[in-house]
Amino acid sequence: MKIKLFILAISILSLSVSCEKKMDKIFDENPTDRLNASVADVYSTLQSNKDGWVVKYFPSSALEFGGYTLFAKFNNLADVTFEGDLTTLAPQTSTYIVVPGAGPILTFDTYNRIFHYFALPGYFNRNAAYQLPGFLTAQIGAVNEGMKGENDFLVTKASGDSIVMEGRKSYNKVVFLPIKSNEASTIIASYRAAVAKFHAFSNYRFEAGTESFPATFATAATKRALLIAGNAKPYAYRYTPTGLDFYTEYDVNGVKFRELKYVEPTGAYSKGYFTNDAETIKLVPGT
Amino acid sequence: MKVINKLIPILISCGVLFSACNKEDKLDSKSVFVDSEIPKNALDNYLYNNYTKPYNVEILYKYVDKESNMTYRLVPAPYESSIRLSKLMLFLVMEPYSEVVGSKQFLRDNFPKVITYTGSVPVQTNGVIILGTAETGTKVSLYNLLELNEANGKNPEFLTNGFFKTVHHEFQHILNQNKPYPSNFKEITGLGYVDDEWNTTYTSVGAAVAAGFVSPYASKADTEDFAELYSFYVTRGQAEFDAILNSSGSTAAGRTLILSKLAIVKSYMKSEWGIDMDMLRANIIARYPQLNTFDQTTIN
Repeated sequence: MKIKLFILAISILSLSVSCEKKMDKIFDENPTDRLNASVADVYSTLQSNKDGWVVKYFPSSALEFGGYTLFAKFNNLADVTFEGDLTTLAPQTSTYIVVPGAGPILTFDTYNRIFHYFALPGYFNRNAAYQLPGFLTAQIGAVNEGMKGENDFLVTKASGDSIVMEGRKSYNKVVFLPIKSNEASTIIASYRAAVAKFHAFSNYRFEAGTESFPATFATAATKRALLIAGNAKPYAYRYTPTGLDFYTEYDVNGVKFRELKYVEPTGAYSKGYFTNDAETIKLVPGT
Repeated sequence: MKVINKLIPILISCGVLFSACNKEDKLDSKSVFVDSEIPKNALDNYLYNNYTKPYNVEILYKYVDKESNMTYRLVPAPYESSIRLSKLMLFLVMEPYSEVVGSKQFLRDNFPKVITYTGSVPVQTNGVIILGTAETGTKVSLYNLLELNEANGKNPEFLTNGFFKTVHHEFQHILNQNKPYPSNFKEITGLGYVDDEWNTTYTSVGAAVAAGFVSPYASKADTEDFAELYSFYVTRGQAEFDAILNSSGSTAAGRTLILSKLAIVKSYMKSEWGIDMDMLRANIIARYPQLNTFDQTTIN
C-alpha cells in the first residue's frame, strides 16, 4: 500500500510540474510578427530618403570586376530608379519587392538595364543592346556568368544612416548610404567625373615605406581591382570624387587601408597618387 | 470502501491531468500572413482579368527566386516584354483552344497552372542555351523575354520556337497524363528512344527524322515524342511541317514512321479531348498574318 501511495504521489508531483516549463520570451512578439515588422521597416527605410541612396555595389564573390557606384531611388512601394557612375544612360525605372525569408529579402524583380547589367551572362552582355553607354563594348565575364551580379539581397541592417545587405549568392556586402539634399543635384556628376579622371590610370604600383609593389588589374577591361604579386585575391575598389574606396580593409606590407585619397601631380609623381591620411602608403599610377 | 480507496487516486490523477496543461494562451486573432500592400499595376490587373479569372492560370512575370532556376544566372523579364508576351499568348494559344473547343473550361481544367517569365535564358558553360522548361506539368518557365521586342513580337517563328511550342508541348504532357494515349504509339519507334543521349545520338533534325522522330528531343522518350509531334504540328503550316520532315539527311522510311505516329496523336486528341488538331492548327496559323497589326502593348 505504501508503495502504491508513493508511486501515486510521485505521479501527481511529476504531472503537476510537467507543464510549468513555459519559457520566458526573449522577444514580446513571435518570430513571424518580428519578420513581418522588419520587412515593413525595410520598405519604409528604402523610401524614407527622398533623394535616394548611394549604392556601393561589388558583384562576384571573387571581386575580380571591382566595384561600382549606383544611385537608387525607391519612388514608392513598387518602383525603383537606378543610375550609375559607369554609364551616362538615362535613369532606368523597374520594380522591387521585399519579402520575408531568412530575414527581409530585397529583390529587384523586373529587368532594369543598369542594375541587371551586372547579372547578365556573357551571352547577353556581348550584345550592344544590353551594354551601357560609356562602359564596355565587348563581352565581360564567362558566357554563362558575366559579371556574376544578382537579383536578391538579404537586408542585414536598415536605418536612416545606412542600409546594409548581402548578395544571396555571393554573400558580398552591399552598402546603401543616404544622399543628402544639398548634394542631390551634383553627386552623380561628381562620381562620373571621378570615373572619367581616375579610370585613365594604369600600371599602378604601391609604395609602402621604402618598398614598391607593382599591381596589375584582376580584370583589364574593368580596371577596378588590383592584384599584387603573391596575393591571389584582388583588392577591389570603386572610384569616388576623392579617390578610391576599397571593398574592405586591405593590407600592403603591413599598412592597412580602406580608402585612398587622390593627390594631384607633384614632383616625381607626374600623374599624382592615391594615399591614406597618414601618407604611409601610396598607390601610384604609371605612365 | 475498497472501491472508494481505488477511486480517490484515479480522481486525483484526473484532476491533475485536466489542470496541468491549461496554461495555453489564446490564439491571436491576427493572421501572421500579411496581405501585400503593393499597389496593383496595369499588368497585374490585366493578368487577373485575362488569365486568372477565366483560365485559373497564374502568370509570374516578376522574378521570384524560389520559382527560378538557381543553377543559372538569370535576370528578370522587362515589364514591357511581359505585357507583349501575355497579350501574344492570349492571342496565339488561349483563344485558339477556346474557339476550337467552344469554351474556356477546357483550358481552365487542364492548362498549366503557373507560367513564369524570365528575361535571360539559362546559359550552360559551353554557351548552349535552354529555351523553356517545365516541372511536372504544372509550371512552365518561359525565358528570353529580353529579346521580345516589337519586331520579334511580329515574327511567328521567333514566338513559336521561343515560347509557344514549349507551352503546347507541356500542355500535351498534362493532357496525356490525365488520359493516356494508346500504347501502340510507343511501339512504332520503340527501340529508337535513347533517353538523355538524344542530343548526342541525333545531332541534326534530318538524322532524327530518318530515325522516325520529328526532332532530336523527340527521341528522348515516347512521352516527349508524343508532345513534340503535337507541338510541332499545331504551331506550323503544312509546308513548314513538310520542310522539317524533308530536312537534309531525312529518309522516306523515317517520314512514314513519323506520319503513322502523328495519326495516333490526332486520333487521340479527337477521341479523348474532342480537339481536331487540323482545326486547331488552322486557327493558330490564320492568326500569324494578323501579328503585323496586332497591338502588343496596350492593356486595359
